[in-house]
Amino acid sequence: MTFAARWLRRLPSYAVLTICAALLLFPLYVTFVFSLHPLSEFLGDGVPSLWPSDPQWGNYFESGGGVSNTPIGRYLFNSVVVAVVITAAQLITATLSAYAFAFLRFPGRDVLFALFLATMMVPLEVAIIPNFQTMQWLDGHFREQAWLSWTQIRWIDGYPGLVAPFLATGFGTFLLRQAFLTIPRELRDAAEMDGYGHFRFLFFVVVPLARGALATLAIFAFLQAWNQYLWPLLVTNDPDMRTVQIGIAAEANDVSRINVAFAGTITAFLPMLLLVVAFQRYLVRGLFGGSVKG
Amino acid sequence: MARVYFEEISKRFGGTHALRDLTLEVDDEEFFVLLGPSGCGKTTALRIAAGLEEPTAGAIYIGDRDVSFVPAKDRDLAMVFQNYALYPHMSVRDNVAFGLRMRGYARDEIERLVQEVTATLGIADLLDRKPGQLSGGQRQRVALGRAMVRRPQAFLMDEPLSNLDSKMRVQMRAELVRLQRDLAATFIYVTHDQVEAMTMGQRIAVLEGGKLQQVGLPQDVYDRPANRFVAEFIGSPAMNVLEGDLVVEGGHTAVRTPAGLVRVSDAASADVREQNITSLAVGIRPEHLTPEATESAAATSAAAASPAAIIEGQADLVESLGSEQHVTVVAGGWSVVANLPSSPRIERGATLRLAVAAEHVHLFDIESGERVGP
Repeated sequence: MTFAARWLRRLPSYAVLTICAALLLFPLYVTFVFSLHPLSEFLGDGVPSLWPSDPQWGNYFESGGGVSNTPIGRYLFNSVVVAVVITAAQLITATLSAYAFAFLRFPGRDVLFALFLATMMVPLEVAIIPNFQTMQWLDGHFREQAWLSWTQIRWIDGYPGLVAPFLATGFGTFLLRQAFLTIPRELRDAAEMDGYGHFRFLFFVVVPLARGALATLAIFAFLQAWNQYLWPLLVTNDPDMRTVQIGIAAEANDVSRINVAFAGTITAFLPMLLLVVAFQRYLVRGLFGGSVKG
Repeated sequence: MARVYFEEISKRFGGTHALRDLTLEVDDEEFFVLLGPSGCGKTTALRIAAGLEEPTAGAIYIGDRDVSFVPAKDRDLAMVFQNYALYPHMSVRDNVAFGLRMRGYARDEIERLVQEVTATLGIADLLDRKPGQLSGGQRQRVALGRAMVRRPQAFLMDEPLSNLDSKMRVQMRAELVRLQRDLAATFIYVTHDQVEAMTMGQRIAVLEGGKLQQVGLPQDVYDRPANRFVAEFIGSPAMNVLEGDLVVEGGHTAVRTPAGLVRVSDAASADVREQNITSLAVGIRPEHLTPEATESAAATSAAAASPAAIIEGQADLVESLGSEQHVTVVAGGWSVVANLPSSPRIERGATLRLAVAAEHVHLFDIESGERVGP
């Protein structure tokens, strides 16, 4: 087949892909364009232009009016702390529990795993009230009880409360268990003959082999933690403890600065974009060539 | 190097018996083969020896040490797995060195041992490759190297050649035998392939249903199978087995099979009478069925001199292997396979008269399956 013929044959699928990509990217594009409009663009009767005819980079940087002048730095910092802690904790807890479900034999294992799966079917919104009450109760205890109050831990308006419900998830356990199950059992047997205990085997063999799944979980956990809205809104009242999503929403409430709110949205989105670009090769590459026949 | 002794080992998985009362002694420096169909318990036996599985009952000895409760890593055994079980993210060097690192060898000592072992196996130039970049045979050698480098008391091999193509398998078979001799090591080798068992094993043990059926030299097991299972499992094409009732004709004891009368030797008939057996299974190996000699050659053929049976039938299927031909003969509604010389070529539909000598007739009790007679 000639180059041209091959290209022609691929044309329809590329056309479909292009349309899908355009549909997905359009809201992003609108946000970006709006973030560059002067405020006057939003005050007229018509729909704001879809072309940045008069780009106002000052929406991002200008002191006294731009994103850089809001406490966005503080919001971003809070979000990074929360997302990093949640991601790290999920990687650790999910790796350990998934290893147990994939490689160990113990009574009640399958029932326990079913329970883990069941937690995935409970929507966040259902758990949010009891979780909030738990945090309130903890916060009260930590403020009132002398033997706890010295820790200065705050479950409301504090990082512990922001991260606590998300340190371990059924989803992470499930995702990693499935990945671990693709690792041949013989590798465990071979490592056992070689004198490697469970933790060494986990560290030297399982983790390197499942790093695709671990990266997937990391990105997923980070994205979820970063994009959380309802929970941080509930457990924070202090503006200093707001995450970036709450901060932007607070900005957007101020109609006189709507263009800056769009600029804030773009700012909050950038770290995510960088993360996905940096890790996408792990999401794609298969890592199991050559371990066993086939 | 050491002997390995299985003492009344039983293993149950839930309700199923994987092994029942297995007692076996593998001698020091012996190439010992555990042979049986899949699910017979041979791999379980190996894993129990390795310490990867705990026996439900019984004890396992390595040398004179009872290792029943010793963890796998302290038994000083090495195992080679069916699918090689190489660590796919590590180079050949790291794969071979993996076990040594854990055992606290010095860095240059590890390098020296790895070089030595990989040179022996002819894979020294592959040290920096990953398993994914190797052929099946090369991966198998790496797996062997990983086992050898620790100089274990014994090698446990779980169908190590079954993933190789047939040509490679024949080559590795010879190499493993040579390796075992050079290392003067104890090998316990699990396989379902009777050719591997016959060609490699100094002694073989046949297992079925978790029970030991027979232990012995390969030729002895082949010549005098202890029961009907062993008789039919070992040998290719498989032994012909015909069932029939015991009759007395013309002063001779014989079995009336669908394919004709088969005379029972005097020694066997004494046993038959003693055990009150009324019906028997008659086993005849395909290579012991020979075309009945023409009158002119009768004098030279022992079988023709006093054949225990003559089976007459039509050739239904002729499989020519070049050096020989396997002919399926239908006699009295039963198929019997004969292994005949490639010449003269037998045509389909030809009528054959096949004779078998008395010493090549195996008899088994139909009830118990046990061998009857000498």
